[in-house]
Amino acid sequence: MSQASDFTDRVPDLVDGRSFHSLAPDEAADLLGDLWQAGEAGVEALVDALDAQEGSGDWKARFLLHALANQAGDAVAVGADQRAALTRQLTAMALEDHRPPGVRTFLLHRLQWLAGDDEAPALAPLVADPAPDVRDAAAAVLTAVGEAAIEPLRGQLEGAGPASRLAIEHALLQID
Amino acid sequence: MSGSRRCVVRGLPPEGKVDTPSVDRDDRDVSAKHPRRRFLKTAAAAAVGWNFQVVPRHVIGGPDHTPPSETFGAALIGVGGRGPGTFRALSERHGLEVRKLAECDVKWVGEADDKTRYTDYRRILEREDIDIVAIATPPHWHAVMSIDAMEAGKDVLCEKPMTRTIAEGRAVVEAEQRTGRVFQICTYGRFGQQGGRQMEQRKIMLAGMARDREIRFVRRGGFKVFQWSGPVDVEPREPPTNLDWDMYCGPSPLKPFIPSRFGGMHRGYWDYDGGGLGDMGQHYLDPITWVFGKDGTSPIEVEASAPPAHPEVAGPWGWVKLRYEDGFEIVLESDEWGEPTGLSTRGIGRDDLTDEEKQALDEMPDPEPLVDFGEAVRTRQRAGGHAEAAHRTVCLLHLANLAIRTGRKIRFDPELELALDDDQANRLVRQPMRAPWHV
Repeated sequence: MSQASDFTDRVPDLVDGRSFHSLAPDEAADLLGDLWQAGEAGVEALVDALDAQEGSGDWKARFLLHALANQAGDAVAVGADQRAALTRQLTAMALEDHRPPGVRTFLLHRLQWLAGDDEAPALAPLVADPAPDVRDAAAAVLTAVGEAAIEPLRGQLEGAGPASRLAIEHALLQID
Repeated sequence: MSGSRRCVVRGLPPEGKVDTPSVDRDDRDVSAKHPRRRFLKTAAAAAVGWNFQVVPRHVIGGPDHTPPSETFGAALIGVGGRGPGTFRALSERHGLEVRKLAECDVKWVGEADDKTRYTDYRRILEREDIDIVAIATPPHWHAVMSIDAMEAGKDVLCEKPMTRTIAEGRAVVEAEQRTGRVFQICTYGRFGQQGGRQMEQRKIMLAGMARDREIRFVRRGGFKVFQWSGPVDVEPREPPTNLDWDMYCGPSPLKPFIPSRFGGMHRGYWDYDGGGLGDMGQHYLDPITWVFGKDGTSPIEVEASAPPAHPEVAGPWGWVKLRYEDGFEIVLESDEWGEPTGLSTRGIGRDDLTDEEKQALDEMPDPEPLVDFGEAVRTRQRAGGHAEAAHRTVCLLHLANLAIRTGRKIRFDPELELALDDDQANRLVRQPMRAPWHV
């Protein structure tokens, strides 16, 4: 079973406690390779290590999840199946309402890079989430998805409150 | 404007319209073209409780109206940091007679009188006595404000970098063309490149004589990579009571407040800017895009040497190579990470040409002199640092950051302004804005 520290311990600390210097490309390649190898268990360990709010010491887990999501967009480095699996997992975790809004928002910001047509129907209800950050982040993901998000978004208009309606219509405006 | 936008000169010939070759004089009603925008305009206006129509003083004054004594009413949006200098440039650099009638800053909550001091820039744009706005906010606001200002009939002097994303820049270019206003970025390097060898270089490039001749420009250092890398893992706190943090974040995601996201170090956060490349790149590269004849196009390929990027803050990078379709290459080296490329600048001059090419060069007329912003405002010509030119320059920085952030080579279509076969990269080219803001 993976632990977040299996991976975060390999990320260099911030310089002077605040400055991000990343890690050497070859070390990063090895680390990300091991993360892909760990599969869902590795991702889950990192997500479970996220604090409710950024700035609480969980920056390494955030960085690695972002690096994974980023690399998933490289069709040469990562296969379609792996990308799809990561996207599905992050989507499922963003929908888990036992997770703090700050964590779900972070996951949605990764999905802004990754989510495709298949995720739009599942993510659309989040534009009505009670947490404004989650609503905004969900709207951004669906805007990024584009045309395939139009019908799921329209489907959320019925019964939507003013804040949700604004998020929905704004997303539709930007997709147009 | 954004959230409730209407084209100012609906149905009327726009006075003070700049003579630009690509203006579609009939294509003025944005909302007619975009039904959803019309819906949003109504819904959003109802939601936020305001609605207005702005009519420029030129229209009210009639076809023969000119400002008395050529004195222009002006406003500054964003008074921190660069702000005062940006506003002074109107008179000291551009020779305009201006009266500062208003200023706007999001840190004036409780101090704004909505007569001379504002916290909401839209109130300034509603004023008929404002002809010119100087925009000195962080870059994530530049596109929205520039477009809104031009649609409200104002000329715009905007701080660099012009935009935060490639798609924003194209929207600003379209707004300049649609409205006929004067737009200029606060960088002037190209204006000093109009003589001698630089002019010759430009003409050679524009004539296509440098194709595949390994012409290259290298800029080494001065990119403030670590200076403008935002602090990480900082505990959030309540924003100061005099700061409208929601308005500051504006079109960018509303993130918990930390002091470094506001005031100078905003440059180090992707939400607002592009790190040191965003700060300095437009200055360094504006003369280059002019000299090498690249005001109307972008590179087709960009790659970078950089470690994995952080999701929130601009981080280290070593070099970036940007290659145009004709083979011309721009190389940026940070001198702060990794190994140098070992490449150096290689231009092309008359001595490199064949006799036939020399003759063709001699027969080419020099381009028209670049028009200073002040002259452009007075005479209604297109400014030398107009939106398309500034956009093509700032695209270099955006493409560089695209390669740095994705960690892979990007192939780019300069006409569509999209990455080829890289959907994820395109999600950085065109990023959603937070409601109610859009371009």
